[in-house]
Amino acid sequence: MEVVIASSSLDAGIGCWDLHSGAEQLRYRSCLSPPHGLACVGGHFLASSQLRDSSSSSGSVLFWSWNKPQVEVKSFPAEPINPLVSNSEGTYVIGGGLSGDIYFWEVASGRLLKRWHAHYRAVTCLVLSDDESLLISGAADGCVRVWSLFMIFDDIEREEAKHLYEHSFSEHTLCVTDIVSGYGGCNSIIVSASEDRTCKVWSLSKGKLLRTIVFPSIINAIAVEPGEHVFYAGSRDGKIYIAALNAESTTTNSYGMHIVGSLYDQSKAVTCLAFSMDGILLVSGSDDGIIRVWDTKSHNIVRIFRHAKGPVNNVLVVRRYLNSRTLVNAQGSLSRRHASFLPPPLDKYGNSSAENFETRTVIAVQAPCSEPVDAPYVSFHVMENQIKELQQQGSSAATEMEMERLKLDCKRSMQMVQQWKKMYEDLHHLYVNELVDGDQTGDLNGNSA
Amino acid sequence: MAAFEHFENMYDVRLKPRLLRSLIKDHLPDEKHPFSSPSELSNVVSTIKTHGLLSESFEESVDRKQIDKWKSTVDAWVERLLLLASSKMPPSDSHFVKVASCASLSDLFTRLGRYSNVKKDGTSHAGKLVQPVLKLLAEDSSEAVWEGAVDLLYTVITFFPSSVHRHCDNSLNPDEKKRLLLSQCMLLLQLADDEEDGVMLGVGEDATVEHGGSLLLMESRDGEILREREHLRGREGELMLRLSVAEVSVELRALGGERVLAEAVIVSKIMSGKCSTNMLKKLAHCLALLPKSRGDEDSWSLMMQKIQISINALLNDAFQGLEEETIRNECFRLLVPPGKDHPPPLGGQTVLGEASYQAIKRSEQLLIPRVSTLMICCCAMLTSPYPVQVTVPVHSLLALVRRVLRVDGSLSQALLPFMTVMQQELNCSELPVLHLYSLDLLTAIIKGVRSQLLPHAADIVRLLTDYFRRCTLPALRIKVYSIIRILLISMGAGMALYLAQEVISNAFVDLDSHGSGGASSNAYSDVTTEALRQPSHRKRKHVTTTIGYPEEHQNGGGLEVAVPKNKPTTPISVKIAALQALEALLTVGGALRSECWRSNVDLLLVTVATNACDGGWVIEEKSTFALSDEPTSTRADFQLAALCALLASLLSPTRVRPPYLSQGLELFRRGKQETGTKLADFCAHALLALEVLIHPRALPLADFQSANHGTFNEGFSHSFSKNIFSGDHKHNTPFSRGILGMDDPDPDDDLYDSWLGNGEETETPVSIPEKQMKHGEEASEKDNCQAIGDPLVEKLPNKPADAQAPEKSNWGSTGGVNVEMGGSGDEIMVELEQLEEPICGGNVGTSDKSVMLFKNSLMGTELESSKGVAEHVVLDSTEGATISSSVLVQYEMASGKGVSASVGDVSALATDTSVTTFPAPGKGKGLMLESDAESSMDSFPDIVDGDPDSDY
Repeated sequence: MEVVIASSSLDAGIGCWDLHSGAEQLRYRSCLSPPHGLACVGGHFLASSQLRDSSSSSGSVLFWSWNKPQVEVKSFPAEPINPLVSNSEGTYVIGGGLSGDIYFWEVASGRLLKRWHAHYRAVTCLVLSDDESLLISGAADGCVRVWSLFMIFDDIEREEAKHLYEHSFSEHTLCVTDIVSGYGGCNSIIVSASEDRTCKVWSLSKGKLLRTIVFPSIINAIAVEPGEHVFYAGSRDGKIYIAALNAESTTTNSYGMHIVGSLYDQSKAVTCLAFSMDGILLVSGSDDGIIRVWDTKSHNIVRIFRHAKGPVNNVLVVRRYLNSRTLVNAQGSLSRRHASFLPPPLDKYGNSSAENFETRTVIAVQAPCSEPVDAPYVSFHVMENQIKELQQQGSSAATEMEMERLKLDCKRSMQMVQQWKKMYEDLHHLYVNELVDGDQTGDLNGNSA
Repeated sequence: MAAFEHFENMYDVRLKPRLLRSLIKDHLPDEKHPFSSPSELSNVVSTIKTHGLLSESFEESVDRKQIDKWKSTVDAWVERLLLLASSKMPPSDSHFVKVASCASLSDLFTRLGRYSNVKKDGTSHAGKLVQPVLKLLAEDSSEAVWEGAVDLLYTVITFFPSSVHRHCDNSLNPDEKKRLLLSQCMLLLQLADDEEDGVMLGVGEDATVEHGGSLLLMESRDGEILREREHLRGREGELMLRLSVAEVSVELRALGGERVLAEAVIVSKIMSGKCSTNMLKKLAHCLALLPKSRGDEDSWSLMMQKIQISINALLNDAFQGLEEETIRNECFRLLVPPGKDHPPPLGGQTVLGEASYQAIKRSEQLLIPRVSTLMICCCAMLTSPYPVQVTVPVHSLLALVRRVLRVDGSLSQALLPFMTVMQQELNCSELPVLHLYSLDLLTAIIKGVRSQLLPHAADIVRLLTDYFRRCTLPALRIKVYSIIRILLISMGAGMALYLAQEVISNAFVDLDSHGSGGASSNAYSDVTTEALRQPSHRKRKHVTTTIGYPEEHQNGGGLEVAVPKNKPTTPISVKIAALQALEALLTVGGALRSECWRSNVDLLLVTVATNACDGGWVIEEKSTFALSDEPTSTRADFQLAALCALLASLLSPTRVRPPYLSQGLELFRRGKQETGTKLADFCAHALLALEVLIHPRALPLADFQSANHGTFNEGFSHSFSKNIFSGDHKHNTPFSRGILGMDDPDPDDDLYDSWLGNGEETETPVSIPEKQMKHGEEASEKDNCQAIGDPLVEKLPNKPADAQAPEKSNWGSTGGVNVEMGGSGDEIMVELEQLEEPICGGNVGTSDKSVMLFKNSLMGTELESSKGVAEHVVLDSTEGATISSSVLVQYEMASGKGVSASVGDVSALATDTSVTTFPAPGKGKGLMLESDAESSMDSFPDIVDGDPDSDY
């Protein structure tokens, strides 16, 4: 089931709708998320960083399991976390802090594996590259940086290197509002949006700016079409602009260079965008609390979800397995099934290196037992082997069996011999008797004659 | 009557019961006719298999009577078999009977395992079987019986895991409990192998303890009970047998049921050294399955810990004098952290009489198979699914691998006097196998923990690269290459940055030798070497001038230099592994900081592939006369691997067009003709994959354009369409129709209308006049043929397109952003198209001529500049594509001939002739350059005046 999940900066919980049927699912309670603060960790559960009042120094990250509306796990990182992202397997959660630090947690243990100072100002967005080996972060000062996760974890290499990042782009002049990474591993593109009213397209492999697109208004959110023909930019003026990537760009457009069109529905500022799995439906969230689903082929709205009165600032499209047993103990008894299977809370501080010793690495959970299509039956093979062995008559066992057979043969023959013998004797008797008797009778007859 | 009723054909259902009946009648033995020859049986079996005689599967329509007939025949078959099975021939203790029973039981359980509704019954049946099977295993009998027993055990644990977990729970009454315990103990004693008659066992009255009860032990002599020793209680999962040989005293703990017992039996089997390698593997897999019987995290972790401790203990003996004391201490510390309990030994083995253990220890030859088997067990545990999440002790496992790989048989100076030459010889002879298994273990770790490897990745890479430098044995190198491949594919670009250097330098050593290896090393074509030499010289120059990596340069250059004759030839299998590693590298990391090695690797791969294929295509066939099942690498495999790697090299993103594209295409075309081989399959795939390189597509959503009201008049869309047209001869497909269809509704687009209007050859909107297509066709064809970077291109008119095309194709194929990249070549086309639009209304001929004319005028201006431009483009290949396009134009400006003027002319021409719906092309030109002056929106003049370098 493909679901749309959405959260808001005002407490309206996390809304959840089936994208295709439109049916609203469970609403998860008490969530005040910052932009990019909502994540679905490996499809297993929902996580969101929380907006906190400025008085508290620590941050807050909450977990919800799919089937319970209440918050199940609460974590309190050392500082407020804004963007939150996890890898597709759900093994890591990465958060960007207000101070510019990036936090790297292991989900299974909640351990804070790494924390590093990434930006001079608050991290505003985080995104993983296509192959999940690179992390791209954007900050309030307009800086976009690309990190190799291997480098982050390689203590030796890290000391030798001048800087941790692979690329650092500082062409944006104001706060970065969104980053999207395209398809194609190391050769992919990155699109970033900023409050300076531009979106910039970067080459990951070259580390260069490829294109700048100036928009009529500030862009809050970007979604790249899966074919990378165009990308969609949700703007503060309520429009979703369509900007060319591989598409031909126009000059006569009223919006500006490279902007080939727009979607508009009299909404307030568009704050977040997400594509559905089929690459056709585009989901947009807006400040008026409404989530619109667009058909990008026809440019029509095909569905509307009402999340809240307040602004929606996160939408995600997530594939959710109906019986989300991915983490449930397959053999789990009934009592265990209802127990929480969410991971422990995220650590506040990184442990000392000595204790950081054994990360809790887990191996895959057994897939639900699918029917063995072609079960490996062995008897045919064994039979073949035995026939071969018998034919060769080489093994002692084969000889033994052969002997056994011969014995039986012998016995049978003996019996046969006995039978024949007996028969012979019987016949003999018969004949002798007959002859003798015949003679006698003949004699008698003769005598009588 | 039946004799006259003929069958329809061989699929007729009526055939089946008849066949089966005649099999029963003529071929099955019975009491009176013992079977004549074993081969007859195999005929029977194969007939049944081929025709599915026992399957009783038929379509709905089949006559009821036929079904009944078949049914009764099958019943007759079963009866006959039962009769045969119950006969006394052969005796039931024959190993034939044992093996056959095990096999059939195993199949029964496999079948039963498919029905989830009989899980419980299945488990209880299987439970009854476990002990007899273990007994079979523990007995001293032939290998075939053991194998049958292990197979059965494996099946039972796989499908009914909890059956092995059966212990004295409340489902058994006290008597049964006692009996079970007793039999378990007897089995244990049997393992201990001695003193059976000296001991009598009894089960205490308190056998109701939750996990198994305690065991009352009595010492006995001559059947007389001397005294009760003690009640023993133990932890769940503990099994202990303390047997002192001197005086008859036995302590037994058999708690935790048959799982523990199974562990004991399997481990003792592994340690016995009486089993073949195959058998050991099976035992290892069985052992790895055991934790599943409980299916919780603790059982898994405990088993893992026990096995590792066991391996380390064995290694301690094996590596005596070969490694430092500190290493083994560290390994142990990782396994059993200070302050933690030492787990019970694996299989309860160490207490199984110290004497026997000592005996085992002495036979050093047995050490390695044991360690290997336990390592296989670790691998199986890591890679097979488990019902719950478990924590993998990655650190200790890696330490174990590192410990083994570190030992290469050399002795440290200090330890020299303590080891005899013979000992060292023995060690060295066994070490490669051990290394092989620890590399397998490393693979299993990588596979098992998947993305969670990240924190350990750097560690592993370092371990691997260190080892790679030292390792020379083919089998080991292959393994290392394969691990590298797995790492690259699973961890992506970041890993490629790390491993590139190592993979390349090793692969160069392995691949860079005379010829393609193997038999036809002389099939080295001089022609191709000559042909390759040309570009390689040039490449070399560039490499040295721009980057200058001495080591690689030397390696790359090695292709040209005569290789010393005495260089040992690398086995084909190693070469294949090296090619596969390079392929993986290019697949994930071909674009990221690859400038320094790409050209060398590309050259190497095309050379290797050309050489491999030059000796002619090898017919791949699995030899019927192969001596063993072991897969051997043939030259056909090598050819396939070389072509795979070549494809990766052609497809992996580059800044310029892949230099060996046409060589590659040629190879694939030739290979495709080898009908019916894997190679031909692959070549067809490669040609398909490369097609997008030649006709790059960046396709919009099907009807995206229909809703798009923007006019298009510049740059990419035209170059895009041109690409399609140029390919139209061959690829006249719905694909292009889609594009045109998409463009159709555009009201402004009378260009297409006019094309459609004079479409004489075909009626469909897809087609465009042949002649017009030719322009594009010609250009792209020539592009294909000319190696990029050749400054003396004869076809100067095509020059600009030549310089641009690779950029485009590269970008298009990888989904990059390339709107600005419609370079001058494309513009020419654009302008041509625009130009011709008004003219060609009626007369195709004229329009063509005018186009050519115009083209020529443009050519003239470029003649002078093109050479320099080409140089420029090549040298600047590290710069962005957009840059080179600007460089091109700017160079033209600088060349004084004034392309700008000519462009101006063109625009004048175009604007003059075209309808007003076209914006001035001159403006379009300016926009082309806009990307360079990043955010500025205007500025055609700015750029013309600007210094070519000032933008950066």
